[in-house]
Amino acid sequence: MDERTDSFVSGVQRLEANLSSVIRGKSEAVRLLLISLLSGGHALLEDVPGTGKTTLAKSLARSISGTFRRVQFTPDLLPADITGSSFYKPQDGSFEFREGPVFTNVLLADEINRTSPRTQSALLEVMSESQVTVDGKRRDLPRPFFVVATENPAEYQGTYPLPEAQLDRFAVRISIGYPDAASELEVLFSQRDHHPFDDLQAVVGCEQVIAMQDRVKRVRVDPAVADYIVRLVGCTRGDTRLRLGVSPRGSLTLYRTAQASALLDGREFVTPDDVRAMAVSVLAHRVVLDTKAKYGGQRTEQIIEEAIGKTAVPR
Amino acid sequence: MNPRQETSSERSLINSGGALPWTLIGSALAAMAALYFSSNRFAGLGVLAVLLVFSRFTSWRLPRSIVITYGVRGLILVVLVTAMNRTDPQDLTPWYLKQADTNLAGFALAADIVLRAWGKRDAAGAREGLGVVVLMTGLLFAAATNTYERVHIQVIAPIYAALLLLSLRSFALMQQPTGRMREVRGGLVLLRVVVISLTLLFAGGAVYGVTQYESQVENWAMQFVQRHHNSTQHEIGFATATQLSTVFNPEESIDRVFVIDGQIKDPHLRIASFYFYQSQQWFPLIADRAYAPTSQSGSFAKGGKNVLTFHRLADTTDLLATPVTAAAVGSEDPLEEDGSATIRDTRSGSFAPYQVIDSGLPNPAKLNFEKLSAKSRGQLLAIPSEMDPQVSEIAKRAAGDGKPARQLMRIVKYLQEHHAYSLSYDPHGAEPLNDFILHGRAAHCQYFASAMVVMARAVGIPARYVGGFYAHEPYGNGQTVVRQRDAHAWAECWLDGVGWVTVDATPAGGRPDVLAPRVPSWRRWWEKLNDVPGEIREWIWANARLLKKLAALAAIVALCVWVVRRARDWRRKGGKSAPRYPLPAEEIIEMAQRYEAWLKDRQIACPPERTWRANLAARDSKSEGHWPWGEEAILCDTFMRAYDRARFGSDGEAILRARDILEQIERRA
Repeated sequence: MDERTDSFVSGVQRLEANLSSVIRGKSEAVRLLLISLLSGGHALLEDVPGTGKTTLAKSLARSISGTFRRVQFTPDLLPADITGSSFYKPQDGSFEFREGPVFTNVLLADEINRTSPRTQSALLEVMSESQVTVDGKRRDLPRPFFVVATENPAEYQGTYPLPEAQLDRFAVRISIGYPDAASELEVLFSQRDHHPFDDLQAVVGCEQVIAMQDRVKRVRVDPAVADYIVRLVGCTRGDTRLRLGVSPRGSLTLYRTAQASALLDGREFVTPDDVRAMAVSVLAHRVVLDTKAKYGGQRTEQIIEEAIGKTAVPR
Repeated sequence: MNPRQETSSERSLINSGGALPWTLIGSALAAMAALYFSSNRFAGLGVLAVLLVFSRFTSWRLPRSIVITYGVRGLILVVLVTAMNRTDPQDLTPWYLKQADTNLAGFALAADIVLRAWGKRDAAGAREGLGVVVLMTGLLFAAATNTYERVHIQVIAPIYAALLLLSLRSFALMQQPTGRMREVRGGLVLLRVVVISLTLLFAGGAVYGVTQYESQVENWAMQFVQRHHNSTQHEIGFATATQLSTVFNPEESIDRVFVIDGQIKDPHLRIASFYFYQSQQWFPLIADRAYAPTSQSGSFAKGGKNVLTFHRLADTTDLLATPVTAAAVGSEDPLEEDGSATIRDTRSGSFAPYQVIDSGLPNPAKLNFEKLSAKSRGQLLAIPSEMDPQVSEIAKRAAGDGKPARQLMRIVKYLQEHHAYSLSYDPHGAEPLNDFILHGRAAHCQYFASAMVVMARAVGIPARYVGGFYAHEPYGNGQTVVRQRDAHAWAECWLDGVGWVTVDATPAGGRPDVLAPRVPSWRRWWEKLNDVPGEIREWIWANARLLKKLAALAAIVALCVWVVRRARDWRRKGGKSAPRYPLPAEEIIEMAQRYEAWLKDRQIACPPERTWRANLAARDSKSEGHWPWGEEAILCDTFMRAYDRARFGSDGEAILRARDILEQIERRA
């Protein structure tokens, strides 16, 4: 492990400590969020209201010293409201572009499934290419660019389920879940006089995040492990219970997140265990159940687990 | 989530890279063995072989630096050239036929292979260098085939070829650099094809060329050498003419020429005799000699009491040293003899040992002077025309009257009384032999021998000048060693009714046994070490037929095992084609198999769909089998960590660590 990895580890440890001071007893969710940040992807936090989705997203944003914007997605939000639009300047009769909230380092898209598919789709280009095209002109977003979206599970009232293409652009889907009794008790006491979120300080800079992301890309992936990823993903494409298997973007993300996961464990190489650990979080939200399976009580997580159980591991 | 901090030793070893694969080391060792047995002088190759093997057992690697890359290689080359290539500038044998030069090239290649085995490589284990090593072992083997004794080559060649073919597998499975798939480059593919064809050519050429076309190649080579020799009129040593030199044997080399088993009765071992003196030289040329197949080896089978076995350790231009009293000479090679009892081996360059039956008595039946032609008799009695008439007078005065034997003794006494011994001699511008005899000068054995011949002839006794060795140095175990510094000259005279007798007129203080300083004791050990390949080679000679069959069998078995294993792997993968990724190194596969066998022994199922770690994590006290708990589980975890690093992190050092831990685990079974 060289010096760069040391700085990587210290950066990760600071971020982790920061987030854990706010979100109690959810180290797995914190780890997944960091992996999605370091692998250069975006994270989707999905759970029932009140489990700390927004707090986790806000805490991460505050831990990075870059700019942070938050968009509360509402049913009447329009694409131009998030990307920005050109305004008429009466003084000289020209149009001036005013940047929307996506021009930031960390974007919190709160309750993303409360807005219409039209507005949700405005994020497609933003998330996959880190750029915005308005009035035929291309504008690059700052680096790093990290979207944390939160949503309620799709069956809840007053929501529009995210389209598959949109879901595919999130590296991981994180479900926080209820805390255990001890952690919940801790939450109650920690907020006695003020929210611990108010004490958060930025612990890493934007350059450091970019360096960490580059570091992740250099983690060694043995061809056998890459082949394992391909076989695992291929397994979902042949599954009759699925209407849609995992896309190549999915395998690429699995590859990248496995690299980040390995580096977080202090390793310079990816093992099949890394791939297995990331598979459900990375793949489950990318597949679509067919109607029969859906109403037969199948869940996508379960199907991915089965695919893991069927695919031979390289030794 | 706690990033595991690596220890500093682990950190420093990440980039250590792996050593050469075993198969490649094996083929390099086979090529080095071929060279080692081709020559007696290269005990140093054993050191290189040990270094090469040792490179597998340590993770320390030479740092990459310009000093190592060029400096050390240059140094090795300079040392080799100065140590091995003491060539005679007049020797015009083409370099590729001269064994010393091909040996030098082979030694340099072997040293470079060792350097490469110890060199540091990329963390990704880029194995482009393997191709170069494969090529170098091929060249090394080709260098070793430049020898006249090919039996050991025929034994080693199939082993070498099989190992080389097996090593091509690890060469083909080049590790890919981190994560990224390598683009297929035309140049690289071409290079592989060239390297594989070249090595197969070397291996195949070594086997078939040596076995099928041995005599043709040899004839062609000999023709080539002879053409060179004829064009320059260059003649060598004892074989042709002997020049009376001003300084005798100036080099005083203690290199060994012969080691002789058996009891030597007379230390004078003759090599060649000469009868005609002119311009300070004893003739004739070898071309004037009519060699005929010797009948002596035929009578050899009848046996005799005193058998001497001569082990040849230096090139004596095919001439065999024998006592003048030899009754019979026998060798595996056909022998030839000329009229003056000079015996030579018809297989040029052969180092095969030969036997001599020595009665210790003159043997008139063997060489009947009465049967010699009038021409021979005239030649053996002719006094050189350059001789001063006073020489004959002195001879007659010194010899007096009486039996020829008594006359000879008186001449010897005269010479020893009137002349002192000196290694160097200045003829003062006159004809040296006249000057020596007439002015009572001090000189060395060549002059005493020449004077003895001339003076014996002057009193009517046929005599000839003889060059050879004075065998005086015991070598332990009843052996006698003859070194180059033991070269000597004396006269042989014919006594009617007795035969040829040795007459050495040189004063006792001038004989090699008195002149020679003691050989240092370390030299003995060094020589014994150098004899090992020769002894092994003789053993191979003795068992060649069986060994050749065994080597071919071993090669076939190795190839069959490899084919069967490949077929089994192929079947296990459900008849699918080869995996889409390169297989890991053999040691890693072997380790995985051993670990799974250990799990199986404890009735622990480990389905291929589960990683070992997941399997271990899923255990509980109710599940079947003797699961590792506590300390054992920690050992297993440590093993898996090291294994992962070796397998997926491409870390050569981790292989050794994982193997250590695996052995600990297995001991607990």
